[in-house]
Amino acid sequence: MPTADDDDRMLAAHFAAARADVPEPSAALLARIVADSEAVADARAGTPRHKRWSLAARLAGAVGGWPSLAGLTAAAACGVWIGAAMPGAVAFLPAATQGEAYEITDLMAGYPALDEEG
Amino acid sequence: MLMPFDVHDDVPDEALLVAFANGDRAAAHVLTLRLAPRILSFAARMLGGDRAEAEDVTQEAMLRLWRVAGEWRQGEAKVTTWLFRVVSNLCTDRLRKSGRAVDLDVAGEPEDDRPDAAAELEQAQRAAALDAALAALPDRQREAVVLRHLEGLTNPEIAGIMDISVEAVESLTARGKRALAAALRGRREELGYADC
Repeated sequence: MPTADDDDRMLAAHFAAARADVPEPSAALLARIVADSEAVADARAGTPRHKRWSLAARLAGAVGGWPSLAGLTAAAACGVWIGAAMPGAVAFLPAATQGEAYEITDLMAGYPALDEEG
Repeated sequence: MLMPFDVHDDVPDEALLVAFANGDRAAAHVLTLRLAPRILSFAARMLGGDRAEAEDVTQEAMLRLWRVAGEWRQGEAKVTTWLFRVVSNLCTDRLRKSGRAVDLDVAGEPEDDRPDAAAELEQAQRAAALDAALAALPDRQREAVVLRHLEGLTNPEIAGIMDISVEAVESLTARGKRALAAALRGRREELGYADC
């Protein structure tokens, strides 16, 4: 029959074995903890993690978000294309504006027909 | 300024935490390597060996440490004591919410052919047997025994972590040890205690 001293020795051996049996944290866990520390340090320093995007993000926000910015970009691209591909289409403007006045038909050739239809 | 990790070897946890709060990010790396294994070990034992959940608790406790770094005052508390308290609360919450059953059959038997494998296997079996017996204890007894006998904290430190009196800590550890001895007594020969 084991005595209380026997139990104490047995438990001491178990505790020693368990103290030596410390689990090794996975590399993924350590990476997550370090990433958290970096995020907290960034927040404390007032430097967003993706600082290079912050100006673009603010601009996008000012015009209504990224979808609006995409629309603006498409409109700008169309402007460039129209300017490069059809310079002849606006060639009448210098001639029309060289005089003292110009009629609406100078700018909108189909206006008389539209006017006739009422 | 970044410094090699070994430069920090003799720096106390509390000083490293203040250094981190002042912008030394390497200090957080050193603290992670130093503290994560202990926190993970404590959380795993508190949670009955659930490794995945213990990792979640470890990450959450360390995140709280990073967040509190800015208000940390050296000399007021030990980082390890503070962390053990956070882990204790997180684990208690999870145990309470899950109301889980404890798996007593967690002792594995790894195969190994090295010369000292037999001794290592015996040590691993003893650790696993203790973990299984710990998992069967009531939560508060288990916490007190782990903090006292595995983490090496003093009774007043444990009292602070568990928010109870020193006398209550002594009572919990005494009852816990009696229950552990009773659970392990039947496995004395199997675990190599025939001589004691």
